[in-house]
Amino acid sequence: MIARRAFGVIGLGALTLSLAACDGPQSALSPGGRDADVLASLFWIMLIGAVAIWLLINGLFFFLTRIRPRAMPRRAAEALIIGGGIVFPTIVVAGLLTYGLSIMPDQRAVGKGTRIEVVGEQWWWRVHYWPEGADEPIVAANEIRLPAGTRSEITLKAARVIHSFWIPGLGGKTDMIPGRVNRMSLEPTETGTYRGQCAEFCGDSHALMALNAVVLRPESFDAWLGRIARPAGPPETELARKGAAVFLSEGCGACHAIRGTAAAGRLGPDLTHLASRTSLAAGILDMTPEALAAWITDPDAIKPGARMPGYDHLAQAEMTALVAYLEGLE
Amino acid sequence: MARAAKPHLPPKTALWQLIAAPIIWSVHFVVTYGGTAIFCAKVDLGPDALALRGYIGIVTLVALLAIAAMGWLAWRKWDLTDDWDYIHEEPTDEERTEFLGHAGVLLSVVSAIGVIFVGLPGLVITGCT
Repeated sequence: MIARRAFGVIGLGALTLSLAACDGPQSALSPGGRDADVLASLFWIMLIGAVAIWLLINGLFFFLTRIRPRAMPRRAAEALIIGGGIVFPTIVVAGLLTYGLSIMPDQRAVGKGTRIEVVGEQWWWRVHYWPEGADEPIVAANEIRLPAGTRSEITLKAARVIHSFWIPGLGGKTDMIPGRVNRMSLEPTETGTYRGQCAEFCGDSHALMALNAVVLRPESFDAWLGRIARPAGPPETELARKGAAVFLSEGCGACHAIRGTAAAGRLGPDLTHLASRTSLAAGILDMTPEALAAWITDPDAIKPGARMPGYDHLAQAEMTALVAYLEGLE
Repeated sequence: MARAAKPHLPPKTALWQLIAAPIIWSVHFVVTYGGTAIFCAKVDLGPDALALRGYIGIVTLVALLAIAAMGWLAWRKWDLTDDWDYIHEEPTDEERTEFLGHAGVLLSVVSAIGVIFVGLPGLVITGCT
């Protein structure tokens, strides 16, 4: 009796915990876009159907073995086997298949407006915004922003290994494959920040390859895109000016670009508007001075296998200046 | 000691008729998916991919007709309405033939369902992406 009650309490607790996990910025069950909405409905329909069939089959089993354990008339038994074993599952599977297939075309509808190109790198995301009619992209990294209420076209590529682009709160996942150009489209309906995650094992830091997707009202999106299209402003404080000098003298510009400066590297993420991003190191650190300093000192400790070398030889004053400079890149 | 009488086996055609329907199903699968890949690589599909959907529809129809023919042959072999016999336990020619027919009918039903499911995407696809 006590054991049974304990099981009940544990079960209830587990249920509460698992339901609590359904919420939050990275849940396919709290959709913020049309595609995720459809997928969440699909999940609930499948789940309710599965539960109903489970109850039916086990109820029948219980009925026939415990409540009325007698031989059935042959006719009834055959009807049960053919009806329940062949006709019923065929109809159910046909219905589910037709429903599942019918929602696919909308998920792949063509987007309009600014096209976003995302390239999976190890272990970060290169992001290019292509406004309609643009000859060259607006370069960003490790975060995407989307206008609410519009279906945006997203082009997916990979640099060296396979990745998969997945923002559960906004839609399904699509693989990024080296040498191939895949596409998807997303139609967010609610503004907010959603978390995305690489969903295909891609090496050491696969689990640490995330990104935030920020959904803005269309007019805010346009204003934001206009802002990040501009080159970086000059450093404003004395400390930041020192930091800019450290950035260039340490050779950071060999891998990173800061538009408007001599730094034009393309190996690593573009840092032109680094400080305006909602996270650091592809979705795994908050954008704080402490996190920036920790990252620059030893990236490998935060993201094993990261190709950026550590700059632990920098003097404290140099690091402070460098962080101040980067913090000013809004 | 008398030699055991050699059992009277059904003609060889009975065996391939038994597996004909699943084979049609598998060929339909390859022709549908392979054909779609070729369509997508070589042909400009235009809006709604009507040519591709027509191709899938025709291939599916042909496969269903072929399976229906195989099912009909098996049904005649089973000859259910003759004696309503669907248990084939005796080592006689009639029982063997009826068993093969019975199994052939069931395999035809499964294959027809499989072919319909494989062809269903033809109803909804509008392009190759």
